[in-house]
Amino acid sequence: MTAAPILGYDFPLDGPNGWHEAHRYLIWTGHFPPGAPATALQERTAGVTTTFPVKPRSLSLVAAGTPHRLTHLFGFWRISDCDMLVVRAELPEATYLCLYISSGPRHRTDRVVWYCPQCGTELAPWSHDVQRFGAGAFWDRSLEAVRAFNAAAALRTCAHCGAVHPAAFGFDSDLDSQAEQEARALW
Amino acid sequence: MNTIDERDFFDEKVIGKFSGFLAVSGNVLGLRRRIIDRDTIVDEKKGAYGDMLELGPDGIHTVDMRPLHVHVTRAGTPHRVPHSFGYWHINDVDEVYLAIPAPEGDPKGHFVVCQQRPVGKEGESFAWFCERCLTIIHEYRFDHGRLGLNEFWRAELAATVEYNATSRRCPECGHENPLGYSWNTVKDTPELAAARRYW
Repeated sequence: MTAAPILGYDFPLDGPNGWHEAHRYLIWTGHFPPGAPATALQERTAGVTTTFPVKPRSLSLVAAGTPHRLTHLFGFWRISDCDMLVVRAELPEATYLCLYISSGPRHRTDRVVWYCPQCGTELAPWSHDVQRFGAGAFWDRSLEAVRAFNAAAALRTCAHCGAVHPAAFGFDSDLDSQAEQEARALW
Repeated sequence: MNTIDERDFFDEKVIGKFSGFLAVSGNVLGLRRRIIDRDTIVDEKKGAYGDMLELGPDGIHTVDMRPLHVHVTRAGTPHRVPHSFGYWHINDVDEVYLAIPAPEGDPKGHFVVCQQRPVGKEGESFAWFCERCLTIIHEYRFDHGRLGLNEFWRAELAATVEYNATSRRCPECGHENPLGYSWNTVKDTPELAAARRYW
């Protein structure tokens, strides 16, 4: 007996925060209580960090190839060869956040990197093979890169200017160590 | 170079560009301001945005399009929204829908439709299935990846005109099916408006 084909998927934003694989899309749905630290989208282009203003409603697209992160949500810069859409909506009971990653056969690599806070030199680059491990696995596996970065002062120290990058943190706050929890509160 | 405000597609100065569909990088987006509360979605021109229909091997499935739910219609699934567009849309790429209730003090919320930008041989079809027995009776293929988004609305209208010029009679059961109609209400004739009200 074969399973019936999947016609569509449904993900409530007020359900548990988490990633969902929906054919070629990888979608994160989440919500935060009022007053939680704002998850501002940041992009890095030509050595400059741009922080998008936090508005009650916003929809932004991070184009493939652009280093990006969301403050307090993941403590590393992600560089992907596919786009990410970021939808933010404040309602009285919560701030809802959706991330759409348009994955598929052309999605091959996601990278993690940090930038020296003083001179912008790239630190501790790490790469995830999407074709081998899958798009969703990036968000779990990137914690390995985070923990290696935090564990080795040499990785966090800029070879160019000697500045030391603060501790990083992964995506899933439930897995935070004490140090990662403190880092999440900071940036 | 876009300003930081222009990078927010919900910004009131920007959202109008997405009233149809607009390709941005590797995605195609449609953004609508609709009257959305916690339970319902209302299109001012077309009325209540009811259930979406998806067609599978075992017949028609009803999708309850609820606000604050992300719905993904999987690539290849024929789907339609009654009274909104009078054909079954079959897309080679997934479509993602999200309705966000209106913020306090504003009757209109945000309705987001998103899909990946088709490339190469990827495209979509406008199709009609017999309303009585679900036999496919007409299909118009649009080579979106080759022709680009700019040709989409012309193709959508051409498909409807082409279908309406046929007998619309099912070759299996003989039923005469209603007229098809475009997503855009502007070109509705009285006959097309009646078809829109009907299905």
